[in-house]
Amino acid sequence: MSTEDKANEISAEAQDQEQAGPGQGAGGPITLFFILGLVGSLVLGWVIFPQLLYSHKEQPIQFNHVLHNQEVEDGCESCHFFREDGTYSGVPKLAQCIDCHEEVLGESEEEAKFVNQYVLKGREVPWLVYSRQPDCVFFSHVAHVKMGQMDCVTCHGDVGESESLKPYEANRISGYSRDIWGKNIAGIKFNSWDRMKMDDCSECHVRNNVNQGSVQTLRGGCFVCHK
Amino acid sequence: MKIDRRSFLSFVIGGAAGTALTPLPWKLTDDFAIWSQNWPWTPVPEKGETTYVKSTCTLCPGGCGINVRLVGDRVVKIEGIKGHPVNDGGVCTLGLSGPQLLYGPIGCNPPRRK
Repeated sequence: MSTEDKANEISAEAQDQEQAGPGQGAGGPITLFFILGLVGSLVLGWVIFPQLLYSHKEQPIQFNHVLHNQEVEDGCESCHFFREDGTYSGVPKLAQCIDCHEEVLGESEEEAKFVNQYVLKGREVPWLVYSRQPDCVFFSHVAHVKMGQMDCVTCHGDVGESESLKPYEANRISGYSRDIWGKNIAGIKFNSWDRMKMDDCSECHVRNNVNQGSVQTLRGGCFVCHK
Repeated sequence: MKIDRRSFLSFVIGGAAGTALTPLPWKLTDDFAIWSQNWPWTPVPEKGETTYVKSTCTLCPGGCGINVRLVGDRVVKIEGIKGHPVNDGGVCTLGLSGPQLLYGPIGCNPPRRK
């Protein structure tokens, strides 16, 4: 092919493009494809990604906090109590439930399931704890509730007013419960109980000046919780 | 409509711009950071009830008051007792390494035979 032929070919291509018009040529599809990519990735990041990231698991027994709260006298502390030495009992053990549920009391199917599968067989219920912190964190309930005079609601929200337990969602990468990062995938919190990450603890620790003068780092007190 | 190199590139650029406007990269960064700190071979105390035993440190003649944290029967941490006349909450590096001396493989083995 001679140089002249090549030049003719190139000019013919240029003519073709001009004939195609502005909508089909450089401007139109390029903007369209940009918007397609933009919208596609926004849907992926905000809608599909959170669904893929968390696994859903139902609690072994559906527990009604409202119903139990009406039956007991001391509110949360009736079942989630402090022992005499100041340690916290956490999620009740089977022995505590048996105090009332030695046999089926009501007509609820879930209670019958609980009594038959766990009480009669003497098995502990494998509750999935939404607020379980990682091993590197030392947390004392007595320091916060008794000494710090905090309410359960400040960190745990209105769990006591729930009639059923929501599905437990575990992060497929880190293995943590979704409640640690918070329901909002962007990590934005509206209430003090929406998130349970380190920044949320330290926000309150800095505000109330909890052991902030660390000798080692001269900054925040790492060893208040990481000890 | 023809999908050429230009439109493909603009799709990719649109996708990159959109991704930066979602929590996806930031959330994944956080999750992978956590994942990389929790290898299965990293030793962590077993999950269980925490108890404390108050005692006196015998690793030097000082006699500091120590608060030993246990998970089950296993010592996991030695802390100083606040208000103790000797150390008032503090504990030295030797006292702090008590659990390692207790469980570490470099400790002297006791006599196996009389």
